[in-house]
This record gives sequence, C-alpha cells and structure tokens, in this order.
Amino acid sequence: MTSFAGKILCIDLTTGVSETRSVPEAVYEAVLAGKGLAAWYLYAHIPAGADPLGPENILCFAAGALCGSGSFLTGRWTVACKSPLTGGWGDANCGGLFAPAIKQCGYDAIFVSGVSEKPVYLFCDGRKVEVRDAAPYWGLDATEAENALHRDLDPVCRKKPCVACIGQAGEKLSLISGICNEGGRIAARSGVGAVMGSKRLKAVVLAGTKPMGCADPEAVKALSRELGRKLLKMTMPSGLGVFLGVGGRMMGHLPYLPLDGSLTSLMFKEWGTQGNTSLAITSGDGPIKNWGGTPRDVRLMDMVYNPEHINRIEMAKYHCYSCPLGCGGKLNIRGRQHVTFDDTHKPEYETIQAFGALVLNKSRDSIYEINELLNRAGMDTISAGNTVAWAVECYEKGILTREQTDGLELTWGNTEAILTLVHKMIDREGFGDALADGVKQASEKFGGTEYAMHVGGQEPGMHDARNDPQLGVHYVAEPAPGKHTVGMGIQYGAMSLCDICSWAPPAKLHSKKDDIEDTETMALVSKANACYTMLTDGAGGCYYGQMMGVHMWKLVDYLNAAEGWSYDGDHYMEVGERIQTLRQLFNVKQGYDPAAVALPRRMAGDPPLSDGPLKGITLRNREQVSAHWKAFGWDERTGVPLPETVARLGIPELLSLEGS
Amino acid sequence: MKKRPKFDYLYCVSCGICAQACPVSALGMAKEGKAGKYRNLFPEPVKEGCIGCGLCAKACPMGAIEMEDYEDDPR
Amino acid sequence: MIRVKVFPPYGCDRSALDERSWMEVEEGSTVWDVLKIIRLSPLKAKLLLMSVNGERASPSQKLKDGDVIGFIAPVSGG
Repeated sequence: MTSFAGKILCIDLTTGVSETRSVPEAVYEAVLAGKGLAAWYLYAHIPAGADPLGPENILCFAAGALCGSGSFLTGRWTVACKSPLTGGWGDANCGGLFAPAIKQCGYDAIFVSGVSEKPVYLFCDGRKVEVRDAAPYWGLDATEAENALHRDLDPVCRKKPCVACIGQAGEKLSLISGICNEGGRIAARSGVGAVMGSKRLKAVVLAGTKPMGCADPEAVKALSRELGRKLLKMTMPSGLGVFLGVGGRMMGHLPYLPLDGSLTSLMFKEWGTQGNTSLAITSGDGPIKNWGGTPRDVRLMDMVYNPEHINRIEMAKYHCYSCPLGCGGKLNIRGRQHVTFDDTHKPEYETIQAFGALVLNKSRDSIYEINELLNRAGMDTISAGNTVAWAVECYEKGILTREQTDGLELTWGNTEAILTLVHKMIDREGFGDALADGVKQASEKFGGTEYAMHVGGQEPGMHDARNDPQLGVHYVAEPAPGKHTVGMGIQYGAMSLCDICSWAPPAKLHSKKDDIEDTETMALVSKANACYTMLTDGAGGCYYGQMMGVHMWKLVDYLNAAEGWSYDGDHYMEVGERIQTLRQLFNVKQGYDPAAVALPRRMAGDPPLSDGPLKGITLRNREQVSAHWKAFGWDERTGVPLPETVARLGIPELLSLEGS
Repeated sequence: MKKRPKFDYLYCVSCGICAQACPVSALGMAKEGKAGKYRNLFPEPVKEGCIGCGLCAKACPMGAIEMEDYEDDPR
Repeated sequence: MIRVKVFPPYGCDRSALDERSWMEVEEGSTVWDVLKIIRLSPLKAKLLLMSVNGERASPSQKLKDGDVIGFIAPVSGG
C-alpha cells in the first residue's frame, strides 16, 4: 500500500460522462502525484493548438502524493491546465482544505474537459459523481457561493462537503482569475479561474470519506511528531515587527549568507507572510512604484506596514490541512476606513505589496477591503496589482487620459481611485473591462507597453529579481512564467539541498554581485531549486515546508515512509527534473516559445536604478537563463528539451503508460 | 459502551488532520484557545453524531487524541 | 569526532566550516564550544535566537552527530 489513491476521475462536461481510471504505479514512481500527475495526463490529452477557453482544454485538480499520509505541510492542491494568460502550461497552487477532500473521494486528481451548456457544479461523495445545475449559485461571489452550497448540502451529506469555486471574475472569464476555497484561499495564477468559467463550472464539491493510505503510518507519524514538537516550542518575543524595516535596510547592503531555514517558521507563526512587508520595502526585495521606484519613494511606509498592526486585529490563526504553522488568520476589520466587510482573511504579503508600495498606497485599511473584494471575486491580487500599477503610471505620464479611465484620477497613492478601479475590474465595467485580463492585454490596447510588467504574459510576484537574480531566472525559464514560488537565491540558501542532493551546490557566503554571473554553479543552483520545488509540488508540499530546510521538513524520509520506497535524494531530485521537463514539453507541444519570454527591461535593471539597495544593478538574465537550460539538458538557445535528456528521464516510456 | 475522542491540547498543533479524518464531520477546528502565545483554533465536537470510530485518534500524528469510554446520561 | 552543521551570522569566523557548512568537533562538545570556534559571543547568540535542530538551545547543551545550529534569519513570504 502507498499513499497514492491509484485512480483519477475524468469528466467531460460536454457529454456529462464521467469515468474513473486507474493509474499505473509506474507513473507515480516517475512523477508522484500533484503537479507531476497533472503534467503526465495533460501532456497526452490536451491537443496541440487547443483553445484555453474552449472544450479541448482540461482543468485538473490534483492532490499531492503525501496528502493524507500523516505528514505535515503536505495539504497543498494544484490546479493545472493550458493557460489562457500565457498560452502554455498553467498552474496554480493552493492550501485550505481541498486537497484531502480529493483523496477522500478515492482519487489523486480530477480532470474536467469539455464545456457545459449551462452553469453546473460537480458533486462527488466517493460513491457517486454528479453534474448538477448551478443556476442558484451562478453570479454569487466565491464566498457567497461556498456558503450557499454549504447551506444547501451540509444537511444532506454525511461528511461536510469541501468546495472549490470561482467568483464573478472567473465567471466573466477574467484571464487573471483563480479558484477559491475556504472563503479566502485561492489558486490564483495562470488564469485558471477563466478556464473553469469557460466550462461554466461554478464549483467542485467533494464529500468523500474514503481512507487515505500510507505504507508505514507509524514512521510517517514519527517524523511529524518530531517536527510538530519543535514547532510547538517555537515562539518569538512579541513586538519585534517594528525592527523589520531597519533589518531590511541592513540586508540591502550585506552579502548573502546561508541561513538556517528552520527559523523561518518563527516568522510564519508570528505574522504569516505579511511579516515580510516592511522588510521588503527597505531591503530591495519588494518592488516599489510599478517596479521603477526605490525606498526613497516610500519613506516611512515600512512603519505603515509594520506587521504588528495586523497582529493587533487578528482574531485567530488558522491552518491549512496538515500544517502545524498556521500562517493564515482572520482579521476583524469592521468599521475601518474604506471597509465594507466585517472580516477578511489576513492578506498575504503579495497582496499588501501589490496594492501598497507598488502603487504608493499608504492606506492599510484600503488593502483589507481590496483583499476581501478580490478574494470574493476570485481574482489574483498579484496580477491585479501589477495591472493597476501600470494604469497609474500611464495616467501619471499622460498615456492614459481621464476619458479613458472613466474619469478616475489614477495618481500614485490615490486610494479612492484605486479602490474604484478594483471594483470596475471585478465587474468588467468600463475601463475595468480592459484591465480584467491582465497587464499584457491592457497595454497592447492602450500603449505604455514598456511600463507593463509581465513575463511571457503573466505578471510577476512581489519579489525583485534585481535583489535576487535567481528569481529572474525562474521568472523567465519556468514553464509557467512570472512565478515567484519556484525558487530564489535566499530561499536556496535556507534549504541545505546540498545535504540531500550530490550535485546541488552548497550555499555560500557571497556578495550580491556574484549572483548576477551566469556561472555553471549558479545554473546548478537554479536547477536544483526548480527540481526540488517540482518534487515538493508532486508531493503536495507547502513552500514553507521547503523553506524550513531538509533537516526540519524531511521530504525524502516522508516519501520513503509513505510509499514504502527506499530512494535517496538524488533519485527524488530526478523525479523533480522529470516533472519540469514534462511541463516544458507541454509548452513545446502547445506552440509556446520559451526563447520569446524575457524580463521587461525595467525588471532586468536596464537601465539600473540610481539609488537605493538596487542601485547600479543590471542583470545578465538572458545568459543565466541559457545556462539554466543547459544545466537541465535543454537547448541553450531555444529552451527545448534535448532528445537525449527526454530519453534519459524515461519520458517516452512514461507517456506510453495509459490510464485504464 | 460508547467511545468518543478526548483531546490533550498541550500536544495539539492545530493541523486539522483529525477533523478531516472524521467520516461524519463531527469534529471541527472551532475551539478558540491559545497555543503558547498564539490564538489558535483547536478541534472540538461541532455537532452530535460522533460514531466513536476512532479515526481521528488514529490519524493524529501528535498522539494528542485518545478514545475514551463513556455512557450517555440516562434521561 | 562528530559533525555538526552551523550557519554563523555575519561577522563570525567561518574558517572551520567545510564547503557545505559542516564542521568536526570532539564528541561531547557543547554549543558553547562551537560558539568559541566561530567567535560568537553567547549574548549575541541568545539575541539571535540561537537554535539547535530548530529548538532553542542553551550554550551548555551537548551536541550530537548531525546537529544543525542556526540563528534567526529573515527569509521572505509569498
């Protein structure tokens, strides 16, 4: 017995037919579950040239290999499809409670193809699979829809159903919309919400109770107990948030240090990801003023975003499934300025930065409102923030006129105008309609393309590649471009991958200048980071488990115990490499051109900033991306996996295995 | 003799594995409390209907749940 | 001899560490012995929330083979 369910559910919404297929064990050995299983299936079954918003696109909801095995930090689910935003591989990752719900229906993943004539939702309780009328729920925001589905279905289900659904943004096919769960968690990137909306699929509702297996439950639980004990004891003195801005200023000038990742958990327990904000504003990590500004433009803003402000209004923390950290929280925001809701999920760092320093907005309260609006609408805050920042810069520079912006004075830090614009984007009303599909489309329509920050069509996360050049490599080279969650130099330095992987370079104390070079060592660092992330995604692991480092979150040991294997780290890193290559092959098949993807000049530091921690930095991104591809055994110029690499990874054999 | 879960919250990390394991969703992460200095949510019965199957206790990696015998109050 | 991994903060002496940040120390060595080798005062170590294998440690704690000694590090969120 392993922790894989061994089965997938395939549904065609055009015909309404659903079937269960078995997956050969060899597939799981090759690519685990989660993102790996998705890549295996979607490569074979999405035809070349498929319209991402048409019936041939397949939307996948996948739990990870370790979900339900008793391991900690393995409750993430992946949504995967062909992305309408980039034209290539698309995926989004989310926590919440949906991953085990998939497994408890007896599946590792659900694949939805076709298009329904009318709005529907999918219901499964592990015994029956039904496509049901969603008319009562269509038009509701994601939280309202989830609540309504619970109101209607909880009384008639033995197990409380778990809901993944789209909001108005997905229904209206916003290319920057995502899929929501638990009233505030969202699989936001790649436009996955639009794919779900194009299928007229409002929600997937799962209420299964099948047991989730594991080869050696006692061994897995022992690993978890060890980790849980440590995390229980981990606390920081309160109130330290006020020092983060200063800390950031120092970090901006210091060389890079290998770090003990285990202590990153302290920050997530104390503040959640929002703890990064004031640090990012001063250190150079956080983009400012549409990526063109410096800390001088946001003086004292690190005090506005001191994480203690948010801690003071936090009612309680909450945890994703199987996580002992609990970086999530619910905030009491009733009565605050600009706020129409009583509460909201604690905004992530990405949201705060995207609608804070990125647009010079000093109103914390407005960000709570924007957070709740976008969570309910099911729209990606990273993409929305980058798009709004573009609009503001263009308005300030006269590229956009007041007529074009429906009379909105889109000036830097104009909270009212930004809030109104967010409403318009959610409703696709007036000027907002053009922005609801992201910054690439908006700038192609209105101009100002040099101020449109996107990589291959997807807006980048709130981490500056000029501060951490590894980010720049992943933004461009990653098959789903623009993602900040694949790897970073500072994260690499915290994970100690060299202790589980023979070819992963050890992290060293070094000056930031060294990170810009396209050496073979840097290429192996970015390769190792990407492979480990793919492995984590195949296992269903959380980024913050990764970040703790291999000595705390023992992924290799977990996998061996849960599956009854006895492989070493190198073997598992090859699993990650295989997943990554398969995703790139998907891109090649779909006509996505990796060589055409590039960092916007501003993000590459061309020309460099003239003050602040990023002063004078210009990246050698093209060179680093080529070196990264070479390290993967892909063509250095085109990014296409070379035939010998595809053969070495056993991909032809893998693809010849069919589900039955 | 019926069985129901007994929680030792000192060892609970609020991971929610128990609540998800419950086949009748009798457990929810609803109890407000403190884990050291952090306000957190802990598992507790959220409705009638616990069937005493013990899946929660079995699933808990921290060993924070035991099944105890109990009798209904005669009414 | 036992091997321990150390992530010294800025300003420490790293010369005893190998490429992968491991160093060899005598069996029965304590955290204090490592602090002496990397030239970090116990006060600074305490302020930086020094931990062994992710748990707060006192300088008198005896080390085992494979222990990891670290200090608070601001690594970011998403």
